This record gives sequence, C-alpha cells and structure tokens, in this order.
Amino acid sequence: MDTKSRSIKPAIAFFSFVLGITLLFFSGAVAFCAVRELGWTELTDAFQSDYQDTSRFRSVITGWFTRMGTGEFTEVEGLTDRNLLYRIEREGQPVQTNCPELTSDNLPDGYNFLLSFDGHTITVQKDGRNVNIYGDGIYRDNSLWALPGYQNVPISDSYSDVTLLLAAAKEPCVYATPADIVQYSMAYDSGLYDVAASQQRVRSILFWMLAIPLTLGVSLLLWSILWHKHKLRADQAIAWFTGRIWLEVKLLLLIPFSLVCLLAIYLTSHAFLYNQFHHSLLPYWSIPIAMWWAYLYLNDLRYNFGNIRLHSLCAALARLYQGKELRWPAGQRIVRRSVLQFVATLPFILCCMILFLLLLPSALYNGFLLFILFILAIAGLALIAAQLWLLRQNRRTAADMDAMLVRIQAAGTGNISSAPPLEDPDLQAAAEGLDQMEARLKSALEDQMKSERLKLELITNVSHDLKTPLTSIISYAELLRQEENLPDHVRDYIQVLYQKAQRLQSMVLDVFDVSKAATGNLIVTVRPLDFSKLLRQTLADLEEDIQASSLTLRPTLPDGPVWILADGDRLYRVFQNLIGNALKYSLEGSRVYLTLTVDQGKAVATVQNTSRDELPPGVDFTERFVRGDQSRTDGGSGLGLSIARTFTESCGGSFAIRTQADLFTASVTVSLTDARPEPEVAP
Amino acid sequence: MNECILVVDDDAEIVRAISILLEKEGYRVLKAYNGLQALELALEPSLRLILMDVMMPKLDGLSAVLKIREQRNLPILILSAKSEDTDKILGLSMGADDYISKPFHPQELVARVRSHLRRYTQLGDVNGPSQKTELVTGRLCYLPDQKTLLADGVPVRLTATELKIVDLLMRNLGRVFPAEEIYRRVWNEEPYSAENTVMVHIRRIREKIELNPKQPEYLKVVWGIGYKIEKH
Repeated sequence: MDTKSRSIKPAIAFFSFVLGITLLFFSGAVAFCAVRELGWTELTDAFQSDYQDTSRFRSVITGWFTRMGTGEFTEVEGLTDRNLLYRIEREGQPVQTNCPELTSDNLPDGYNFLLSFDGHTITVQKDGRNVNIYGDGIYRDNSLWALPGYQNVPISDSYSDVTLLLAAAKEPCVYATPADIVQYSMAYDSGLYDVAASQQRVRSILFWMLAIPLTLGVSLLLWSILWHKHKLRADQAIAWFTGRIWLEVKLLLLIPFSLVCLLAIYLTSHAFLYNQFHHSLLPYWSIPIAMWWAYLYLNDLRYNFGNIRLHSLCAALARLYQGKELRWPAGQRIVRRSVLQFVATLPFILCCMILFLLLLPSALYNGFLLFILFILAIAGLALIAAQLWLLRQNRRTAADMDAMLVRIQAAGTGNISSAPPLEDPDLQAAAEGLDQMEARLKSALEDQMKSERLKLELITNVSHDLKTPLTSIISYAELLRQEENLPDHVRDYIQVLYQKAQRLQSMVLDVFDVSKAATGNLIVTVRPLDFSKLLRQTLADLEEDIQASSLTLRPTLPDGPVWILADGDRLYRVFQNLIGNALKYSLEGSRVYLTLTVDQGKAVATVQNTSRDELPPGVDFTERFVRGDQSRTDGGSGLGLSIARTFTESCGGSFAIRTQADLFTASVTVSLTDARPEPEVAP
Repeated sequence: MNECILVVDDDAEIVRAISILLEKEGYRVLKAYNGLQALELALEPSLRLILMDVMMPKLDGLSAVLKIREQRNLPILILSAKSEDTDKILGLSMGADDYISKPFHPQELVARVRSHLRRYTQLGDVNGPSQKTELVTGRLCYLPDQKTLLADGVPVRLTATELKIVDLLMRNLGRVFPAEEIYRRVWNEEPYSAENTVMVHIRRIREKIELNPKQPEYLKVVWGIGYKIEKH
C-alpha cells in the first residue's frame, strides 16, 4: 500500500504538472488566436446577454436603415425572414412593409425593439422605453450607433420624405432553409439571426477551448505545486532514467530536437509577426514537444551534471579497455597504447589519401592546388613515419621496463636474479641502484638480526648480574629477620628492606619475562582449555587477596565450558595481573567486574574497575613501565599490563584497554576452538 | 648429627649467607669459591650434600657436577641465576638432583636441603626394598592402607577432607581432575561453588607438603582444566 502510493503520487504530480502547463499554453494560444481572428468587438459582443446590445446588431440595423431610407431597398426583393419587420412610407409611393399591422404604437408579440423615423428624428424604443442612441450628441469613433442625427452628423435632407419603422425580434430564429436561400437568390436575409447565432458560437468556442482548458490547467498546476515534493521525486526518477542514457545518444538526439525547436520557433514567429497560420494543426504539435524535450534536457542537466561523463559510451569503452589493460604488464600496456594512438590517426590519414586521389586529376591543371596537395602528401607521409618510429622506440623502452619490473618483483620476494643489462641507460642505472639496494637491505637485515641477538644476550646478562646481588640481599635480610634481641625500630627497617628486596625480585622476573616475549623467545604451549574454568580457578586462587581488599568482585561467567586454544599458565598470568591491578588501583569499596561473553566465534573476557586516581587521557597503558600514576610510588613494576598484552598475543589473542572517565576496562579476546582436551587416563 | 654440606659459589657473600643459614639448622658447612676447589673438597668422606653455582671461574658448576658424579652418589643441588627451562633441563640431565634459581627464598633453600638429605640418608633410593602399596612421587609417599602421606619421610598432618583429596590425586598420579569431579567424589554432593571450595583446600594442602607453596612442584593447577599431583 505504502510503496504503491509512493510510486503513484510522483507520477500523478508529474503528469498534472505536464498537463497543466500544456493546457495553459494551449489556452494562451487559443486566446491569442481569438483576439487575432475575432477582434475585441466580436469578443465583447460574445459576452453580451442580449444580442441587441452587440455592435453587430447595431451595424445591421444601421445598414437596413440606410438602405431603406435611401430607397436602395425595394419591395420586390423583400426580406425572407420575419426577424426584422419594416414599414417604409415614402411620399408618392406605396407603403412597403412585411407587416401591415406594424405601427409606432403597436409592436407585435415577440418583438421588443422599435426604430422609428419620422423624416426628421430617429427614435429607438426597447421594451417600450426610449433609448438614447446619441449619447452626448457628438459622434466619435467609439460611439455606439453610427446612425445619423448627431450634432456633427446631421440627418441628410434626402431622408426628409421618408417615415420608417423597423422592429427587431426579441429572439431571432431561422426562417429560411438553405434551399429557400438558393431559390430566392435575390431575397435578403435580415442577418439578425446570424448575429445571435455567431454570438452563441463564439461563446461556446471560448468556453470549450479557452475557459475549460484554462481552469483545468491552473488547477492541475496548483495541484502539482502542492505536491511539489512528489514532483521532485518524479523528476529524480526521470533523471535517473535519462542518466542511464549514453551521453553520445543525448548529443545525437540534439539534432532532431533542434529541428523541432526551429519548426516551433518558425510557426510561432509567423503567427505573431505576420498573423500567418498553417492550414494543418499537425506542425503545431512541435511547440509542446519542443518544450517538454527541453524540459527533459534541463532536468537531466540539473541532476546528472556531475556524472554526465560517467554515462557516456566513450567513457564506458575507456573503462572497459582500462580493465582489460591491467592483464598486460606495464610495458606491454604502453606499447598497446601507442598502437591505439596510431590506429586512431588512421581514419584521418585515410581521408587525406582519398581527398588526395579525388583532387589529383583536377589539380593537374591547377598549379596552386597541386602545390597544396604536394605539401599534404609530404605531411601525411611524415606523420606515418614518425608514428612508426615512435612505436618502435616505445616497444624497446617498454621491454626494458618490463624486465626492470620483473627484477623489482624478484627483489621484493627475495629472489635475486641476474638479468642481462638493459638498453635504456636510465633504466639500467635504476637496475644497478636496485642491485645496490638489495645488497644494502641484506646487510641491514643481518645487522638487525645481530642486534636482536645481542639485545637478548644483554638482557640475559643484565638479569643474571642483577639476580646475583639480589640473592645476597635477600639472604642477609632473611638472616637479619631471624636475628633476635633487636630493637623494634631496627626490626621495622629490616622488614622494609625485606619487602623491597622481594619487590625487586618480582620486578627482575617481570622484566625478564617481557623481554623474552618481546624478542620472541617465550615458549608457548597451546592446548584446548575451558576459559570459564580458568577464570574461576584464577578467582579461587586470588581469593585471599580479594578477601583482604575492600573491593567486591562480581564475576559473570557462562555456566557451560568455553573452549579456547591457549597456554593456560600464560593466560593465568594475564588475569592474575589484570585482577591484581584492579585490586591495587581501584577506588576503595568499589566493585570489580569480571565478565566472559561469547560472540561470533570469539570469547571476550573483560575486567572493569573504577580507578582510584584520575586516569590520564591518551596514555597507552600496555606500554612498558607505564602507570596511571606517573610518580611511580605505588607497588607495581609498571609491567603488569605489558605482560598481560604480550602473553595474550603470544596465545593468539588480542588485548585492549579502554578508559572512560575513571572506568578502566581491559579486555582479552580469544578465538573459540572445536578441539577438546584428550582425556587423561590414570596410569 | 652434624651432616656436612659443601657450598660452592664465586660470590663469597652468598656462600657466607648460605653457611650461616645452614649452620643455624645444625649442619656443618664446607666452602668453595670455584669449581676446582669444589672438586677437592668433594672427596671429603663426611660430605652429604653439595650446593653448586653454575657460572664460576676456573671450572664451571656443570662440569664440576659431571666430575663429582664420577666418584660420588650424593645429592647435588644447583644454584643458578639462569632460570630458563632449558637451563634447568640441562642442569638436571648433567646429574644434578635439584635446580634452585636465584634469587631464592632462604627458607625454601633450607627446606630443599633438608628434604634431599632426609631422602639420601634415611629413606634410601627407589631401587631399595619398598612396600608395594606405597605410592611414591618425588618427596611424597602415600600409604593408602594407613591413609598417611609422608613428605620426606615425615607424616603430614591432614584434615579428613584434605586427606580425601590427597587420596584421590595420589591414587591417580598425573591425572587432571576438574574441581567439580573432586567435589563430587570427596564431598559426595552435587558441586556448588566447587572451584573456590576445592581451591581453599588445595592451598592448605600445598602449605603442608610444598617447599614453596607459591611455586608448587606437586599439587598443581592445570589452568582451564583442573588439578593434579605431578608425577616426578
């Protein structure tokens, strides 16, 4: 439902936009044509409710008045219709009338307009009331009636012996069939029906072709404006579609587009400037077509301008070529490119040759043309020669380059190959540089290995040299402890001495462990073990220390076994250090959380505690000798986390420290395993 | 009894400290400061045990051990600052009986000396006549019939629960028992908080049988699996 409306709404919005704009243009064109064809008087006539108020009616009546008054009109001709009744009395002549009972006081039923002329003045009565036809009495261009009787247009004397009555029907109707008109070809039609009928016709034309399209167009446009967002989506959809079209196709389509545009411009300009219209309607379709075509182009430009190049045939071909090109070695690629370049110039050269052959016969009689052709031929040959020569040169350099690349790759993998010298002096120099680099790298590597070995020896020696005096210190401290009859303060000093010696010992051992692990000399025996159990055992092992501290340990461990591959002793040290750290550096009375979770084939154990001291930001706690407290007055060696990290990594796990405000989180992540420990059978 | 012990180390202060410690325990101490001196003094008939440093001038400790072994069958304990497993293995395979890495805890050293002397002088070696019911591993000897555990021949005072755990582990030397299984078999109950309970007892047993309870040699944790008594 929702998706359906989502696709329908934009379509509706877009089509109402298109239809609305088209209808508006259509009605504009109709209005233009109406004004041009009919003129303003006809248009205003069309909107008069009474046909007798139209200018055409007035001109018809004026016409009849003039003709009847001047005697042009004779009884023989008569009027075939009874829409206009007349009574003409001329002195010395019989009365002419088509209605003998018509007098100035007696209008037959159905007639409401009476013009009476008594030889001096014209009076017009409508619905029994007099109508002022002269206005202020002065005739002007815009005066309604063109009858004589104005101050500046007096009634001429030729009318003086005539009395005339003209009555017009209230609603004229058809009296003569077309056959009658043919039969009495000499007969006159009063033309009043025609006035009313044309008013009707113009009115209906304006209604159907102007008013309805205009209202429809405006309302559709308003709708599309209301649904502006949906219309935008339709625009985007259209742009997406037009974006698929290759740029080349779009450019090609510009040719028919410009033809249609030219036609549209031609037609409109002719209509506007010369008032000329084509007899058929078909060419006028070019105007909306051109308009919407332009809209498509603009819409495409608006949304796809940035990636117009991406959707072009040339770009697609280039990409295809680039994709295929990578299969060849770099040198080959260069050669192929220059071949391509050569091929690209071929059509041009071919065209030149055809031109040359075509023009040659006529050039034989024209010195100047012959000279031009000669120069053209020389230039063409030079171009071909240069291309071929460059191709050959490129091929050589490319071969050298490929050889060079092979050597570099070989050097990268450690296979030092002895290749023949290269032709290109620059590449040869580079190859020699590469050889030297290889040699230097080799010696550097040897130096590094030597220094690693020396470092390990140094650590071993230093540790040995530290341990020997430490043995003496511990032994004598012990002897002192056993000494009796010592004053209390001396006993106190001895205790300090003893404790510090113990710490020194643990530190020396830690340093030794870390350096061993760092130099890769740590022996690790991995085997399947239950991570959850290991943590439980560690907690049980550290039970006394935990009890002695003010902290509470909150373990969250899964009930079932969590099998991992690790060195149990090392991993125990990791958690011994982590929990030991937590016990040492936590805020008094706070809680330490030990959590083991299994997620996506990995077991993650985290130790979280709230630090007693503020944790400095941006410190890598797993660096050797780094502690939260830089003053180093606490008990640790500063190696606990470093050991935890190296030991975790030596077991194939990963170790991470996160600090957030005072919350310190250490996490150990180890992959799960399918392996299980072999059952140990009692011997 | 005044058993005679030879202490060999190129560091005179260490030799003196060890001598004082041992003399306090009632032993007689001979001192040597290099391998050659050690070779001479090793022929002393009353000698019962040798403590030998490895890195020494003139003749190093390991060579001295080899030479002494040609003539004497007394316990030789190596004292060394080298604490690598490979060093320990090398020392023990050269004929030494124990390997103590420096810096050592003085009390542990004394305990080890006492342990080796007792086995050498009182219990004799494994090849001698022994009861078939005995379960022996290194310094430890368990007599299942009498429900007694002997460390260096001296009975260890164990509580009933501790004895049950020792009984289980000694009868299955080298086999690893999960805490739950120990709990089930010793307490005859479904395990509840087994790890902690078992660990508490293990720790107490260690204090009674191990020379250095912090680095146990016999009652060991196999991390992530369970507990066992190592076979020596």
